[in-house]
Amino acid sequence: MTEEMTPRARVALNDYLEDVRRSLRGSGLDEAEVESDIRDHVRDATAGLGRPIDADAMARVLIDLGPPRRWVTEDDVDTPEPSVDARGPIPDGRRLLAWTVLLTTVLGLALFPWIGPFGLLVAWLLARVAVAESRESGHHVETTDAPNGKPSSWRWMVYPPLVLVSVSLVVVVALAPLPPLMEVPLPASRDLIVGVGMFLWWALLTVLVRTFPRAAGWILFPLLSRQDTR
Amino acid sequence: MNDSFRENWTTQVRKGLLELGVLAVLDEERRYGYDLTQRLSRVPGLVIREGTVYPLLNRLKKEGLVEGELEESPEGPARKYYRLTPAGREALSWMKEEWAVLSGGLAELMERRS
Repeated sequence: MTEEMTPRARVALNDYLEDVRRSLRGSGLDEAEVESDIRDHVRDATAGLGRPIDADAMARVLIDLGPPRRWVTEDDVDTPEPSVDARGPIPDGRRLLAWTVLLTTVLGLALFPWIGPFGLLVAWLLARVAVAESRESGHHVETTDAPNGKPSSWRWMVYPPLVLVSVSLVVVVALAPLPPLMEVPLPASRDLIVGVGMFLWWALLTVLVRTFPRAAGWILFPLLSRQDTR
Repeated sequence: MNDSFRENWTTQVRKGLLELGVLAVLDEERRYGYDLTQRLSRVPGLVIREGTVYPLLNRLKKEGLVEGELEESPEGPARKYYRLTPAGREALSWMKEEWAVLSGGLAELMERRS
């Protein structure tokens, strides 16, 4: 089934399954059976759609299935998701973490290029911690991940280093072969060599992203992740 | 009447009836999960999210009212079909009787008031 969907649709399904597994831990329910039910449902729900199944179609199926925690219990089966506000105020620790991310980012930018890159890397790591923690807590920072589409307001403190590092990484990796190719000692055919070399490099990157969408999504969050999937 | 009261009331009624709905649909014929959710979705207001049906199916399986069986499909991977067990049929029969008594009584009560 996974060959019949786009990489982003596959990431969305895998993320959903991972969230379900996390919810099932300690519940006594058979994880393999539940996963099989979900995969069968997705397969049947998308049977009449064109191939490959894209992220939008996958998102619709997963939304119809409901939040991952619904697989654990019937107690809340038809209870609407609580609103972000209803979850209570953001705890002080999480607020402090968000402010630390923002401060480290500002310092990183101010001290660029001396120790700035190190500061941005620290800010990026802290921001990843904040995102992971927010997913666990229900105070979603991701726009489309929040059950009611309302992310927590502090995402604007956490996102800058994530975007900065992701964009920088994309640019650096995408253009990595350019300097050595420009050094080729054949001026007459340099353009051709650069063109072919860059094409092959980007083709390789595309294959890597398609082969390892989860790893790519993790590294390049939020540019390439579950952003478009729910 | 506030929204919270309305939601709670609807949820409670729907939860009880969904169980009856699942058993009634499986009494018609055995069905696989998606097929079952689609059949139930045609009953207005009974199923909000398709994922709500599967935990219920798991519980009914544990209670021995429903059983699942894998069957090879010529169109793809094996499919899990759900069907009623004899105990499930017995439970459905009892639930239908209870529902008839309850719904009849309530209808009569509401008719008198109007």
